Amino acid sequence: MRITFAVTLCLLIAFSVFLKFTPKPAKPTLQSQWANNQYLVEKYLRTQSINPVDTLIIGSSLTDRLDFSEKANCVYRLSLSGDSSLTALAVAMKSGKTPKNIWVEINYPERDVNLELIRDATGYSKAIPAFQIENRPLSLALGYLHQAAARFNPPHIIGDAEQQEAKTDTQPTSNINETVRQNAIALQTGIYKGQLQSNILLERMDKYMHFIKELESKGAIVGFFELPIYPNLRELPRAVQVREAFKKYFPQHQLISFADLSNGLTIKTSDGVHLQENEASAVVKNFDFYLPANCNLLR
Amino acid sequence: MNYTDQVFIVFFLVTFSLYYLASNVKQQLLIIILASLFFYAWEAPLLLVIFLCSWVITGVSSWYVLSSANKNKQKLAAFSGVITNLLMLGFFKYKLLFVADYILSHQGTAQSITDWLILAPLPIGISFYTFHGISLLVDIYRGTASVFVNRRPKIVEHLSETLLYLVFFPQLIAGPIIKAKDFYPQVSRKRFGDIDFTSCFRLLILGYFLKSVVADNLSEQTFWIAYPYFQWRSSGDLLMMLYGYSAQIFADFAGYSIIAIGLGKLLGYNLPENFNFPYLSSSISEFWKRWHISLSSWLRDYLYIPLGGNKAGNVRTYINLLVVMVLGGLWHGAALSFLVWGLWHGLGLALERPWINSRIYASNNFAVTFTRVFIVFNFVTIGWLFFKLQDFSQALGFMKTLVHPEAGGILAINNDAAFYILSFSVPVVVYHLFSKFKNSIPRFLKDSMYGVMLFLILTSPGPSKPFIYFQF
Repeated sequence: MRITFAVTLCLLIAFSVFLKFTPKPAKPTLQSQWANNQYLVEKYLRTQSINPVDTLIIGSSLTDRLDFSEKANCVYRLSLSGDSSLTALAVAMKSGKTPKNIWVEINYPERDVNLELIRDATGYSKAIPAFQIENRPLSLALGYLHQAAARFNPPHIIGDAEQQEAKTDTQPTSNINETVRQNAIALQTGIYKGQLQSNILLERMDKYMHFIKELESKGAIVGFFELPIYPNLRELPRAVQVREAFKKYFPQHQLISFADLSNGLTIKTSDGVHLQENEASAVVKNFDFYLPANCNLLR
Repeated sequence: MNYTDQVFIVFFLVTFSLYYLASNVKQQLLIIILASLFFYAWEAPLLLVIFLCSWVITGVSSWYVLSSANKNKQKLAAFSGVITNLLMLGFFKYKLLFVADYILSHQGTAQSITDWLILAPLPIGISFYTFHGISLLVDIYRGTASVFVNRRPKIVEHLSETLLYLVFFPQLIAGPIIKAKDFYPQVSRKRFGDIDFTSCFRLLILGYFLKSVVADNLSEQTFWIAYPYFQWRSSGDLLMMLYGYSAQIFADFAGYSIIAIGLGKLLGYNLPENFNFPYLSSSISEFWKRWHISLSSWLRDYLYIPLGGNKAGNVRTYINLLVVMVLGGLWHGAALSFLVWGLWHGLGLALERPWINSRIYASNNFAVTFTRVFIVFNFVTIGWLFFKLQDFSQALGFMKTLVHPEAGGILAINNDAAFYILSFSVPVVVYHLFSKFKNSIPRFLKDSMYGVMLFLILTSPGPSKPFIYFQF
């Protein structure tokens, strides 16, 4: 067993040295939605301890479609696909410095705090680069492959690498087959015709209250937003129930409505709930009104 | 409690320390039983009541078989013990078929014991401890195992050993199913100095590697086999994911079994091998001698042979094969998919049976063997679809999308997903090939390979997911 442990130790040291002295691929290549979520949490916590952002936008895979990279200096999108705003709020509570403004997506309030994700992404080992999610040997290898391939075959492979974070999402963002889209919308219609169990919604609202009070006590201004979904779903029982619950529990807080964010745009979505690329870009433009005008002035 | 949880590591270290500090076998038994009960009650303490009922039924009826001299009374006690165990298993496993609507509309409103029993979830490990109980009753009744011949224990002693046999935590949740005649002789004082730490750590490293690095990472890629997501994928992606799932389910279950065997060894108990490089099988019957060996040998000894096995004529043999495989499928759960999966394998066994003595089966030619391994692997992989998609209509939908995809044909493959699926499946291929060369690999290289696995466990674990077989 001595050889086994010695080999492990040598590999860890060699890998750490490699990470220290070798330039990493320009964009991290992440293996899945789970890895993407972990990456967003790890990166957020590192960012907040070094160079805190002014505005935090949190949500689910719906928010993951929104690209705020133009304001990357002061806006951070903590969108956890397949997960919840509650988890992201719990992460925000863990960060050293609290952002001034926090916008919370309300579309999936029933999802509880994902303690495993928080545990995995916030352990002490995350201070060591060899244990950070974007530095996994296989992900790095794929990143270098992408980089190498990009030199020979720019259009196809670069596309893959650049879209990786978005591609870990549940559904494609463009080129969606119409039959498949209609099937997905029918599925969502079935879901939205129902309502969330009232006891679960009540319990989650209490958690939102708890987290938001804590964050406000640290100086944050918290607001909510409802991302536009397929028009026929907007007034179905589930959507109305969720909207009304937030209005009831947080009457003093600003709620950016789906109407404000879509602003006359026809929303088709890729599956009833996830925006298509062009729709997401339009929504980001409409969101801009609620974000800091000039990031550099905040520095 | 999952073997990959940090809390389990703490639990095991505490149990291990107390176990070897105990000064006699009685204390050791008490410690391991209490620890196992704690382990069982961790997730759902109330389900412990159902487990304890099973223990009392098995313990008392088996003691009665042991202590009675009258063959008819022995038969009655053994029969009633087996039937009661099967009724309990059947009730919890298949009640959803009859009372699903009631359960949905009455959740959290249990007013009586009957209500509670109907609303209770499937007790963890019930499929496994029921089979352990049946094995005990049948082994004692048959009287063929020397350990039970002329055995007249006091009831307290017998009940405590039976409790240990049923609840022993390394194998409690998902096996390997150890037969009573193999377990009871092992109950004795265990000494710290007798532990073979090297082999234990090797087993644990291999098991955790297969589970955390291979299976858990593959699970992220194969997640999209689920409905409705498969509709968005091309044929190429779907095929890739199905093969990925084949590697995942092996790594998950073999990983679990190897960890269980390693933990058992640390506590001084030898649990049976559950896997013997199954994807190298060149026939379906060979596959079932290499895959989930403890279940297939249990089904052979306690079901197939009592039904007549292959000694009662051709027609009866085919019927027996189909019955055993269908029941084996349904043992996994009350879903049409499991029945189809069992039938799939039963038909496979029946179809290959006439060929077993043919020249093709006797051939040692590499190309012939390779082709047979290839066919068996693909046959088994198609069968896994019914495991993954337990709603049969969804499994059919998957196949339909595979043939008529909405999102691209066989060559439209997501490069990144393919890279990860292939990369995380490589260890499964290497593991199988390793069986061919394991005796010729130098020790230094072997130890180094365990070092690499440990490095990957530390740097590349996937999301901690429950073992697939925990649901059964």
